[in-house]
Amino acid sequence: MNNRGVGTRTCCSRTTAAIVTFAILCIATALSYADALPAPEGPVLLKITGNLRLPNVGDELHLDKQTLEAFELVTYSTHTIQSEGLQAFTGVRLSDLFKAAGANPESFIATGIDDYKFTVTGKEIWEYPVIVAYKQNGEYMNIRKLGPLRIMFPFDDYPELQTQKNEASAVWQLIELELQ
Amino acid sequence: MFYLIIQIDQTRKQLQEDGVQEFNFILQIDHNYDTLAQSIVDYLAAVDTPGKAVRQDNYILRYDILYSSIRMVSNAWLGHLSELETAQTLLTDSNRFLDEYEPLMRPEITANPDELYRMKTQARSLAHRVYEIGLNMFEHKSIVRDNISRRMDDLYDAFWIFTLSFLLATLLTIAFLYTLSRRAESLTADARQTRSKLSTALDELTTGDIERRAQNRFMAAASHDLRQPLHALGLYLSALKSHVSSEKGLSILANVNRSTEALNQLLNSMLDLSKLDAGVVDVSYEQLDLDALFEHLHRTFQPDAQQRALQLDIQFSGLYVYSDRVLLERILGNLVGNALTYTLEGTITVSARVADSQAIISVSDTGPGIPLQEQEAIFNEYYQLQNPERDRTKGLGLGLSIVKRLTRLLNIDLNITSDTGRGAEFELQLRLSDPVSETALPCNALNAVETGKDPAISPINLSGLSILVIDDEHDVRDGTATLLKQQDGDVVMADSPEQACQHIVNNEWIPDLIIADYRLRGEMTGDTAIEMVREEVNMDVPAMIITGDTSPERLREATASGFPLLHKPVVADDLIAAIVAMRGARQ
Repeated sequence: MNNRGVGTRTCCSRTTAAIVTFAILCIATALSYADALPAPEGPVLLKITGNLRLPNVGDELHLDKQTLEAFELVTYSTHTIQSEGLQAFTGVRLSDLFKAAGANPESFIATGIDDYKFTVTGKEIWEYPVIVAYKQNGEYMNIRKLGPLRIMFPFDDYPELQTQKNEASAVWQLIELELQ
Repeated sequence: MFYLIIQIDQTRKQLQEDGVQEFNFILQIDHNYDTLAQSIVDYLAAVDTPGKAVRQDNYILRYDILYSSIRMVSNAWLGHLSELETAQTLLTDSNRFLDEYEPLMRPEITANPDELYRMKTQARSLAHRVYEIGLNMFEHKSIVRDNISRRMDDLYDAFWIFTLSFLLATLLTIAFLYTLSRRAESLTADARQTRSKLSTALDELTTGDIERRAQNRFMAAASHDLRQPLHALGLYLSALKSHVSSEKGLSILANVNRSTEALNQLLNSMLDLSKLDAGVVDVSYEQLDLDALFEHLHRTFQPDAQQRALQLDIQFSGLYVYSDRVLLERILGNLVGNALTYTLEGTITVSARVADSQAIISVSDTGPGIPLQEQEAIFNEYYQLQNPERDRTKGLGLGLSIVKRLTRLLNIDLNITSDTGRGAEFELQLRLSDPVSETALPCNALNAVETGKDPAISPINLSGLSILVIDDEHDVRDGTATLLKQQDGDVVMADSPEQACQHIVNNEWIPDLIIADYRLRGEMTGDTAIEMVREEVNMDVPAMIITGDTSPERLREATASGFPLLHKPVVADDLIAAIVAMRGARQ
């Protein structure tokens, strides 16, 4: 995985004297802790805040478009209640983002640009490919299209996900995830 | 059932959640309008150019957010509310608002502050309307939801009540069925019992058992009452004899005696039946010389046969059998007596032979014979062939039923060979025995019918003998006393043991013999009375009991008392003979 690769490269750039000591430390931490992502250079699209171990800006993990697109891509099509017809969404698994943040939250508060907040609970985000989508039908989403980021569930592939709670959890115009 | 409960519960939860999101969304639109208005206010309030640029970006962003919520989302959420006219109007107005200000929402365009101010005012007003709709909707939804929820609760309760009732009903049904089956079982058992009782009753009816039992009861009751005067009559007659001197008078007295005799015989036959039914007859087996028995029969019945011009052919065989002397004698006596009664002319033959190591005694006659269909019936009490008018000179018809009981008691097989007009032959099958020397003569312990056929009374002197007679019947007491006094007995009469004791105390008198009636006044019985007197004189005075009872139970009681027993009506001779025997035994 990408984040793992980055961490290893950082570890190896240390001086020889420190290598042995640090390598042991590094291996020990690498087993349980991966290193944090680098701070973003472009505009921040998503902030992951709250209870996390691998921040890159202050206590928070900030992600720009480039960092997001470096994660493994997940694409699926589903109907949504906001638009007609089958829509293809592309994005990053929420669980991958949490791993990158060094977190294993029981719940989190998703906040939209429009100040909408919803507390997401349950095991669905770990057991299903619940994503933070940044493309709809192959195109980036602007604010008018409920972008630039939105949480999406594979409602069509897994009908059991079609609950009011999950509909409410699919926050659009997402800008922040506050881990509990 | 539980699946249903879960379904109801889930539906209720869904109902409670329903509408929450729509409400949230409406609040969100209200918020979007509000923030747009606020961002415009902020922009208009800004003084410097960079500040204005940032705030312009902000109100454009707010506009876009509002745009997305109205254009992208409102159809999805507010579609449910399309029936609400205000919601439709709001949507139309919102779209018009978006269209109107769309051209201004570009970074390169600097909007007219007045226009922006108007936009802000409109946004505020729309926000207010959204808020109103939200509130109405919330209230409306709440009411509906509450109603439905209440109804669901009722349904839920009803369901539980139904389920519990159903369970209860099932339990009750099971209990009811169980009780029913138990009841059915007991009814079946009852039915079975009733059927067996019924079949017993039917058996008794066909075999005449019921009739016999009823007759027994009747006879037991009647014979006691009959016996008392008859007993007294016999005693008086005996006493009278010595006072009659004329030839004519003696002849009449003889006739009266014969009639009394016949009456006695009938009563005794009934008494014998009662005794047999009570099972108080002792059986003592011994070796018997048949010739001796036959000789006795000959002596007994020859005069009668001669009188009726019939031949009595007794064939001696020299055989010995193993049986009860008295009872066998009684069987043969009844059979021969019966044959004599029914045979009008010809011969009555009594013989014995050996067949299959058994002794067969045969009594045959040349009488009218017994029709096959009646051969069972003749053994029933009071059944008589060809005697519909019930001629009493032919007896009561008890002879053969006594024979039947006696043969059963002695395990003797009894066979009849007979048919209409061909005479009748009764065959008894007995155990053979080795010959033994016999000296004893047959005597009659059963108080037999032949009493009185024996030689006439010989006056016996009872002088010096003190006799106490206890009987609550005056006539009986008086008759007994008269008879005994004629024999020079010293007789004291008492109607109760108390009176007897009184006499004993007053006169310092001690009886040599006590004769007591068994059934005395009240609950008093003869044996108790005797014991009372014995206690009074402090001596075991010899005593005997005379009873008129014929019911099996009473007889069993009287026998159990252990005293010598005489049955009313006691013929004078028997009474005196018993007294003499007792005195002799004492001496």
